[in-house]
Amino acid sequence: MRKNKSISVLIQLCKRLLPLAALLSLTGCWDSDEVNSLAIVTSAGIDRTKDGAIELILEIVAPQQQQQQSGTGQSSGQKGGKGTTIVRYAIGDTAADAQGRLQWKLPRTIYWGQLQVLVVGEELARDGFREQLDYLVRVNEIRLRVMPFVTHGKALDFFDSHFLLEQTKAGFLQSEAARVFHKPLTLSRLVQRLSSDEDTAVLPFINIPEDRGDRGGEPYIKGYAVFNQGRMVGTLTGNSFLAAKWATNQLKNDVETVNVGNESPARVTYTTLAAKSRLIPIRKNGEWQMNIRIESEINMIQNTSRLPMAEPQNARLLEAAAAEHIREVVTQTVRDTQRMHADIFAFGEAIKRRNPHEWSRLEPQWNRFYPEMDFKVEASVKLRRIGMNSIPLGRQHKERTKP
Amino acid sequence: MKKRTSFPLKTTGEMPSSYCTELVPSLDRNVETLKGILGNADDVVFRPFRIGMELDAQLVYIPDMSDRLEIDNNVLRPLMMLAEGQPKDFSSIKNLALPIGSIEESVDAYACAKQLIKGYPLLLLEDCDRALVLKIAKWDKRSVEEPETETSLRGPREGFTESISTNLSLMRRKIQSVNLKLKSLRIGRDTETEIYIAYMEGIAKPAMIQEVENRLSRIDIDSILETGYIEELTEDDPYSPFPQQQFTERVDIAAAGLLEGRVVILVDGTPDVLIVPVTLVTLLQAADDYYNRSLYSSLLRMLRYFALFISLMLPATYIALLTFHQEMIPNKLLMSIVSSREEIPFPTIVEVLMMQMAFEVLREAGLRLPRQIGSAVTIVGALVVGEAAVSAGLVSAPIVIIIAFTGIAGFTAPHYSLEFSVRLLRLLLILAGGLLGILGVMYGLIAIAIHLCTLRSFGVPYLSPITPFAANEMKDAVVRAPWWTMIMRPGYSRKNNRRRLAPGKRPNPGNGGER
Repeated sequence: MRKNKSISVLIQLCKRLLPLAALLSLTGCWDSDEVNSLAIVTSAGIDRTKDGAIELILEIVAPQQQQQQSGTGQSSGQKGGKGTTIVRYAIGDTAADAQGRLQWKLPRTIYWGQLQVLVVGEELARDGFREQLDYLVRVNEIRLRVMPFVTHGKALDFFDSHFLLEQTKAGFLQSEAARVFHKPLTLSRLVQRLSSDEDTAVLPFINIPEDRGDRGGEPYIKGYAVFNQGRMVGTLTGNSFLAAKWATNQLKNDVETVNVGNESPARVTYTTLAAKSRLIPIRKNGEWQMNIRIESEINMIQNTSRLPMAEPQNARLLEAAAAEHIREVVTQTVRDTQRMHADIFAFGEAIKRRNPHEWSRLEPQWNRFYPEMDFKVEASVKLRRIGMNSIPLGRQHKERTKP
Repeated sequence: MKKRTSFPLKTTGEMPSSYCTELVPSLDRNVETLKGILGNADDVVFRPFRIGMELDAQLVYIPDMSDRLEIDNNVLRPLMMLAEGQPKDFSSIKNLALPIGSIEESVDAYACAKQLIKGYPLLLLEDCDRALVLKIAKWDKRSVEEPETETSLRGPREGFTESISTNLSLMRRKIQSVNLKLKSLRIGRDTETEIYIAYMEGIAKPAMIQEVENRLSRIDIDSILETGYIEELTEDDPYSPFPQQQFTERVDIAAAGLLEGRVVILVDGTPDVLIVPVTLVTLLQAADDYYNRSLYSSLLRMLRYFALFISLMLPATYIALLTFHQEMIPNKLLMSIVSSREEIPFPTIVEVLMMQMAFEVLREAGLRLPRQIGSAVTIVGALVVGEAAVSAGLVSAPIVIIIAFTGIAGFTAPHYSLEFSVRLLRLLLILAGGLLGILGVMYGLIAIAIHLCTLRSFGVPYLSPITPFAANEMKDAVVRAPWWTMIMRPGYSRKNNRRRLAPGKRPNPGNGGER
């Protein structure tokens, strides 16, 4: 009797423990990897060779080199702008194939978990890199927070370029993106954009100055590369880049200068404190029209005009000038994108949200409709800060000029 | 459960039948009997003398356990000087001739011998079948000192000593209330250790006192040399890694326990007293918390909780992240870890276990060695193990930092019995983390949480103010609320007498009517 009871208790216990045991077998020490058996990839580049094969470039953490550098300082001869990472590349039919070939050359397993940036060469971008992106979003180790970039020229050129402020290429691009954008674009956002109805996207475009001597020549983010149907169709640089950032709420650290008044030194420079843009689609005479409403607050940082901005009527002048400036550049930029047939500001999505039924009618012909679409830019600017100096230098206190 | 209020004296078997334990009216026979019972007890002094030059008597005592001055001045002198003609019968000697505070009679030689062993001199008289037990025991005691294991920045410096009479007096001095009850019993067939159950009547739950008495009365053991014996014999869950009774050397902690409605068990011969019941929260309350100002105390207490978790989980998490979940480490941190690990020949888990073992060995050695050498060993050992091992490339620098920080964080636990359990569980989590990664660490934590939820200390849930939740007691759990807000006693005190403070006594210049 007692024996029976203890056996049944044992069976009960086994039943309870079975799911636990099953769970335990899902993981275990066979899944473990010491960090030193991994080739940790911090940035990756994809490009197309002349004969159409795919070139995969990986920047891999090199602990040996790093140790020498961070050592006692005696062996600092190794530096030479090499950084703490090494760059290896391989060529294959697809990105995954190239990765497989690259693995042959490396004694350690390629580990994608720390990938931070992805650099696409211009060649491949113009050719369409959506097919190669498939590998990157398929590998389960890769996080979707990876930041994609497009580089001018060949991707390998970027990995060959040198820069002194950051240890790795990945670190460099990350801080560069953080400097330029309010909220840098990630792989997940890119995939969303590429699979949206408009099928357009923008990626940061890196420029590598041609003469790579010891002076200057460091890469920087020059503008946006515009994608349509998965292919790069053009770039937005200079004022258009600025305008694109205005319209997509990506503004950061940007300095602009406008003319105020009509006296000869009239340049006023300001930075933007906050900006908000909204797309408001309206129906006008049966046609869709897009209102781009941009509201921003600015901080004046230099005033070469003789108008004291502490006075409201002068501030209004500056605000009007800045608003006009925004209107001009944004209008110009939207025209550019219309020429490229790339709806990067997601006009289509705005219409879809307003009127999904209408969108289903519009969608098949959107690529033709968008370049013809009418739009209006409404900008309103508020001057929030004028700095410490309320009266322009050299101007007499008494001498109050009314505009 | 059977209710027992009296505690039978447990003795080593029966007396050998050849002894006549009854005292007889013959001094020589009685002395013989005593010597027979005591056997080869050469430290016992038999001092024959004559009372008032008439009556033969023997004073039997153990020199270093009795007050010699008192024997000379208050026993031998008055008895020898007793004038002729004064009555010299047993009761008049007891009542008229001996100026001694506490005196007893005994008719049994065996009982006499036991009293003698406790240090009480015996006075045997010619032609008398009774002996006088003179309660003038005195032996060397340590004076009241500050307990070295439980120091505090602020608060009383006195600690319990090995002598239970001193300890009782310390308690009485702290709580000068007639409600402080001290119930005596003896446990241990050979040691017959004196044990006191102390509680506040009207504050402690009667059921709790009864439970403590019941559990103590069930103990049947030859000796009680320390409170640890009692602790292990009365625990709720003997195999739990968590302490279910709190021990302390500090008088103020014991007194505070009593006033919260807890029961204190004092044991003769050890400065540690037991406090029951205990909860996880009380083990994280330091005496200082109640003496320092509440904001500061609250910060420190939260820090202690944090340190407890660090101490429990840090090495395990490190291993799990480094061997299973490299993507969870920030890029730059991973790069520096990788470069520091580059030349290390061992896997991370071996590294951690090695360092952990080195740490435990150092700690144990420091504890066992004499104090002067102990600190030297710890310093040299720490230097050797830490610095040399890193420079020799045996362990990586981050591991040394992690193990050292983990160890130090464990020491923040105010009661080091809790630190013991954390050490034990840390090892478990290290293995789980090394084998299964974060999943293993989580399994371990869940197991610990389940165990903690089922654990009880003398019927009180171990996690008690947290789960089962008691909002009122949270004032003294993670934070230490100001005294004027802690109006009620904890839930394990008696229900109808919970209020310890008048409400609405927030200090304010306006309250007292001052201008």
